[in-house]
Amino acid sequence: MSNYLKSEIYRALHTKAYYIFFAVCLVALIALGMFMKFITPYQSFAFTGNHFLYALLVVLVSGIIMIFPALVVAFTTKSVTLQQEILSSGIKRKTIFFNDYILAGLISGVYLFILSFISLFIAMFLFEIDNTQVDTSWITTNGFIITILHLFLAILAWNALAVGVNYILDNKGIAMGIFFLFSYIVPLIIVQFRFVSKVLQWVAEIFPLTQIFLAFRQENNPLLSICIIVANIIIILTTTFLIYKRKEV
Amino acid sequence: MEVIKTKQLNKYFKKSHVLKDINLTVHKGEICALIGKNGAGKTTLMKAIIGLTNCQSGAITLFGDQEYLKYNRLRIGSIIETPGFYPYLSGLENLEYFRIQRGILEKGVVEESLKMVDLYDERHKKIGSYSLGMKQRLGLALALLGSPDLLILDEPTNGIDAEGIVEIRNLLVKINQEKHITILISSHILAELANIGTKFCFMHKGALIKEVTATQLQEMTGNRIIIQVEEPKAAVVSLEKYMDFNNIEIQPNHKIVLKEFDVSKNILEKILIQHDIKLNSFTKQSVTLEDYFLEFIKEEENE
Repeated sequence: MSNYLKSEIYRALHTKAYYIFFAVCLVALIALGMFMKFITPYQSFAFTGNHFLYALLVVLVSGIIMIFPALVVAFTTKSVTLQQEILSSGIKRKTIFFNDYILAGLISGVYLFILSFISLFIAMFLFEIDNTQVDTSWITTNGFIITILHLFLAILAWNALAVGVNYILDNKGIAMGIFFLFSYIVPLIIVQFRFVSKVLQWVAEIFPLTQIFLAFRQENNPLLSICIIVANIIIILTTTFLIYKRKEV
Repeated sequence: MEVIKTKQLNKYFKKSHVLKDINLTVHKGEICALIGKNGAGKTTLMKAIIGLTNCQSGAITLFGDQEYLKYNRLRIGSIIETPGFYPYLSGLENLEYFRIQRGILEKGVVEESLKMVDLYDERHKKIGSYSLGMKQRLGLALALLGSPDLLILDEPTNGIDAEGIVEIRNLLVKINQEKHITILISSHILAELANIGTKFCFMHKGALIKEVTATQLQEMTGNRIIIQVEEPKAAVVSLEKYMDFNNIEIQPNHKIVLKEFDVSKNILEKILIQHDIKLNSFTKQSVTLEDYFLEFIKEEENE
């Protein structure tokens, strides 16, 4: 492990915001579980832990996960003066850029792993899991894990975009605007036209967000969708790094 | 030994020529002061030496070795403009972060550096609550981390109060003398540079226009008396008995400049009258590095 990555891990471990955000996620997770447990007696159907996982995925995909790249940009990327300080220690721009990206992935991965594990635990502890009821709205444990994996890969793609754009622009506000535009708004607009034209459907399926929804609805080929998201990551990382490299710090 | 040597260094930024054929040599143990107006190219030159910016032509040699420039740059401690820190981490955590990053194994160096810049008691405070002066001092502590052989300091006293400036000045002189660390420094407070510099390099519009040693500067600055007499040559002969000949300069219009010579008008008049020389005018002047610099730049611009 490079000294730079070691120092970044030291910094991450001393950054209170990560702990606060984690605590907020955990409280939200438990609150959602408690709420669903509370409404269980009032449902007209047999309520299982699969309902909880389904509801959780909706919240994760549409809400909490959007915050991950924002948090990563806020605390992983560095100001120009900080970059200068680090570069003057003999560390290359390539090391800063890619290690920051690796660290962002590591932080997101740790969050997602712990939260997913706790989610499964809550689902099994508060409810009963019934994987026989497979339906688009009744997500199975395997379906949950596959979707979480897609979600993690998509987060890696989003992190690449957020980290890259911020290093190019050195403006967290605009970087986040561009990040939301290309991660959420553009794919959501294109996806509306997928039934109009086959080409637009293919275009829509290029985006990681669409791949998550397809995985969520179990309508995808997991291997193909993983390849599509990985290709996204490589393209975004390479392009943003090449632009950043040309920029004078 | 030549710690820094630049040869014909040129840098263009868009259409402007920001460094013009810079030939700078700094020897071991020197405190070299870079003096120039804003935009003269001081920061760019420092950045080029550290490796933060590339030059289109020319060569940089550090510690007499051009081949291992990358590795020799690791022997430099620097502050360029405002030092960058993480505002949500404490002073101690920030230095610890850089210690790990630079691969320095001794943990004690962080606390030692903090003590050196008098920030040890504030080490657990978040950087966000530090004043500008404290941040500058922490920047200096960071520059000193890992016992560098060369310090490159761009405006290290920026935002520091008068007392702090004196402390920093004493600290720089101390580390220069005790640890033989070579220092390349720039500051807008020229009086401070005059106090510590052993060599002064003047930059103007991207070019290094003059280099003087502290002794040469002392000759050109300090207290001086300008007199006007009928017979300058005779006056010089009469004054030689009382002061060093090298400190007497005859100027046009029957003027004589007496450097490093403090005497009252009456006494000077008496000396000259003994040789039948009439004193027409007597002016006392105190020339600082700032005056010298401004006058010098004015002359450069007129040319």
